[in-house]
Amino acid sequence: MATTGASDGASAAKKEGLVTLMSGDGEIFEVEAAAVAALSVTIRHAIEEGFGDRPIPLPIVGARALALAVEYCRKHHSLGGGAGEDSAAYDDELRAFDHNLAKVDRDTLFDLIEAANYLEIEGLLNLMCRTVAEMMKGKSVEELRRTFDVSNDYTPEEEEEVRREVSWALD
Amino acid sequence: METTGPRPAHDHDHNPSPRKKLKIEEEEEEGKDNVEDAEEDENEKNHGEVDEDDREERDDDDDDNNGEKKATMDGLSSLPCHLLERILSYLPTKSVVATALLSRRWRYLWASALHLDFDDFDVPRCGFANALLSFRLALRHNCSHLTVSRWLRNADLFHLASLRILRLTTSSYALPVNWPVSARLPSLDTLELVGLRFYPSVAADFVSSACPRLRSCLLKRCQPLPSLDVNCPLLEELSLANFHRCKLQDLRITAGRLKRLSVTNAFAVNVEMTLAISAPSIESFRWCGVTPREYRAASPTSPLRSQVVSLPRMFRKFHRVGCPVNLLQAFAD
Repeated sequence: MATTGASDGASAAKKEGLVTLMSGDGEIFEVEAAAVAALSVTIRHAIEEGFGDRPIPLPIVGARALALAVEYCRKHHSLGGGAGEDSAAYDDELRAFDHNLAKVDRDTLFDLIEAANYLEIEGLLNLMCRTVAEMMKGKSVEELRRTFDVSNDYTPEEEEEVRREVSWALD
Repeated sequence: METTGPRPAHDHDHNPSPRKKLKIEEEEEEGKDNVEDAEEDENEKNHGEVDEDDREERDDDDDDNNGEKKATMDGLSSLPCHLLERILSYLPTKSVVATALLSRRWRYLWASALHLDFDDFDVPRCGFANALLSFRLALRHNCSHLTVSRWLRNADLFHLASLRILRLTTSSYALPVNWPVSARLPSLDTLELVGLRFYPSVAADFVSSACPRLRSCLLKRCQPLPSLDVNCPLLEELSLANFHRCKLQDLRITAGRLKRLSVTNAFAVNVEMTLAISAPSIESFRWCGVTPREYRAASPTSPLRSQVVSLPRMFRKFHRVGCPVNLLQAFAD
């Protein structure tokens, strides 16, 4: 995955059409305003509210998740014009990109979900939620606990009660 | 504009903690309610939240006792509820319901999943009733209206025949709920419908025709229900409150065992309304709204006598807003 950190570039001078994002851990990203604004409702509003020439702080979005989210925006903006999955513009290349993006490790996956939620990038949020759902599919409760590090905090009695409650849905 | 301008708003808009969101909804709900109704709301809130609070306390204890467990709370379980619900929406209903077994955090998540589709598996073997019995099923605004009508229409399929308690609560009026004429909940003794928007075609007697054995009924912030005809021989408690926008114009209650009747902000102002109550066993009668009036019948030994004492005041009030009321019938034997 290409890093989008623009801070390395010595382009101190503001370029037309760029917007600066600051991740929660303080990294600066200089990205095409049109691309991110087309996909991210939050960034669009921030730009509309006059943040265009100052860094937009994104306190709960980590640098890694932000880099991926920006990459997503770029790709979808340039290839699909920001259109959704059911549009004709969602071609094989985009599909492959999404497919690759969904292969991130588990921690990044959850970071990315929260980032997409915060940035209001609907397509990315759906993609990542669906990815988690795919990982959950067909797993027993025990397997789910193991896969997602969910610790069972039920007492045995409680667990038995819940089991009875939902027994109709258990195989 | 200064940097401080838009940020706080964004923080709230885009990252609402689920708990906070819940609180706001409740405050709104309370705001809508009549002051007289506050006491009821308090009870209801306690009732609904007891489980959650308990759970949280226990969670805290757990964290104190074994700190290393807390670290594993990262990842899936740490996501806010609305995101988990979103994830669950991609799973078949059976899998969604099964997540209740994961941990306390997950116990009731399935009930507010955005999509529950009962078409994707066969007849539940152990009865849907058990699942619904002991807790409030919160239908969030994104929940498909089909869900409710499908349950009701397929009462037999979902083993609703043995269902005793049904509580449906929504916090918005976004999607209309159909209450099919064919709905039958023959064992239901407690029905609570809060914040539902019905199709206009819902019959005036939908409660009594579906739930013949009803003992307790609460209809609150439901709309539109211009007329309501409750005819349940076993009904002991009936509460009608805060009908939204389209208020009641025609209310008929026939309930030989009715002991407690509460009507709060249910009637429209300056609209021709009719009220006919036949409830010889009435003990407590509470009326708030257009004519705020607490009316309490005396001891069951001489109900007629004391009720008559307070009736004229009611009548005056009703006449003031020009309503033909046949309230006497309520206290005739």
